[in-house]
Amino acid sequence: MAKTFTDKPLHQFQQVKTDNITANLDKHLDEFNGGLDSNNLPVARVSHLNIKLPKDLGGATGGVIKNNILFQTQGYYETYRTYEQDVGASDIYDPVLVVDPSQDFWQAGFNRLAELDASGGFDNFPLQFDAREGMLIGCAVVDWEHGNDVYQVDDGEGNFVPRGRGNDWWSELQVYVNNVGVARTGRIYPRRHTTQIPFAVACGSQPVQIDVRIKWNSWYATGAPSLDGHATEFKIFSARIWCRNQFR
Amino acid sequence: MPIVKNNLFEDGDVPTGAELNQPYNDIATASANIDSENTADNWITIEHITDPNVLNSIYSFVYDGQTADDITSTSYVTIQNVAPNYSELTLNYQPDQFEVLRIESSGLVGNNDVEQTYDSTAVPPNGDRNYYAFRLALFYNDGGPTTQVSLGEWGYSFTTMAGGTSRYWTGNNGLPENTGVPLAYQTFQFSALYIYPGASGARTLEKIELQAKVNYSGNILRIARNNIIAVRARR
Repeated sequence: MAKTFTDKPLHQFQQVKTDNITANLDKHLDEFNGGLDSNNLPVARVSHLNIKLPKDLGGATGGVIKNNILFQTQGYYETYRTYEQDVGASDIYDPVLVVDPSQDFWQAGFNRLAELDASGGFDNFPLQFDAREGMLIGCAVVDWEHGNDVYQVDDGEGNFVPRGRGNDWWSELQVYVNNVGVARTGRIYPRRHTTQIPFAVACGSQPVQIDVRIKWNSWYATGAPSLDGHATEFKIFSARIWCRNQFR
Repeated sequence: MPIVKNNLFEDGDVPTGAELNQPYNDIATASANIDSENTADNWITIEHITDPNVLNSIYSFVYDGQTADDITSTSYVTIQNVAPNYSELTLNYQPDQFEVLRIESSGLVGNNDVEQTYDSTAVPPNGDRNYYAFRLALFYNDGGPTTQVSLGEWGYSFTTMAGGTSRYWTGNNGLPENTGVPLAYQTFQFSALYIYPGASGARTLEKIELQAKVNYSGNILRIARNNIIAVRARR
């Protein structure tokens, strides 16, 4: 609001109408009552303490934890599943999801975690929130394992001896924002690994869904059983996505 | 600041002195507490803020030395970079309600000494000896003793071998052999958020420690460079 000047000046010895008093004061009060702006306040006079505190928008509990916090200049959103919320896993060495590539359903392309978990434990995993125009800056952090394998092979003299296989298996993770791939790891060969995938994309004021998906290469050798009957499982020990929506 | 009301005077009314002074007195009292009820939408610019950098504050710990810390403990211990310098990030502040602390950590695992990645004698899951893990621990107090809370745990393997049962084989000498290829000079990295739900100023966040452990004490985890970065989101 612009600065306010006296509308009806009062002069010495002039008859004053009460309406003039009301009109003059109303304009100034209106300014105080919601119209104060940068014309009224010099620069460098507002401290961060003048800005409102962040607000908890509510989240989700259960197998997948979600938190949504909205600040005046940014928003923070997260979703995660770890052994601490999981009813089956007991510690950091215990996976929350085990997939047997030789028996369970999986696709050759990138797999949603919810598709791999038949128990529904990852159904609520993707991060969903209403973004404001600005940037989405975040990370997906997945603690996973796809190791190599040991199987029995005939040494030609009727003796079954163990040999390693699967050193050429690989896994790859990709982050999707509204089903568009925005960050990808490249192939990672057998190991247990905590992979962090940073991403930064521009966004409008729109609903946003952020997901991490997994693709892997694995094969199953028939006629030469693995020592425990099948190929090495793919495991997830924890998965987390956090995102900062910067809009001011 | 509350809304200030005016007395409505019509033609012919005779205002008293107290009535005329009342709005001015109200403004004088209330103007010490101007808030969003009094200000227009979208009025503030970044130039109006005394120090825009304090909307987010950054804290960092960096160890970029060459000397590695050997970890053989099966419970979490704080990484020590040439004693007595621990991998810890000092915070020492009192967050407001629903403030977010974003923590990222990374480092380099050096030439580990891996004795055994399987367990041929114990019950399943035998292969878990191949694992080691990290934890970010936050230390805080609510006016009393210091309390520790885990911000997250993340795992890795010493070799390419999978965890699980029977992932070893028997060598020509009749002894079990490791199956995987050792993984050395590999980076580790992870991040998490901490959200403070309590009342503003009631909790003091003291520090964050980067901790590590192995799942079998015969294996030596060597950690060289490591760092912790935390961003305090305030407004």
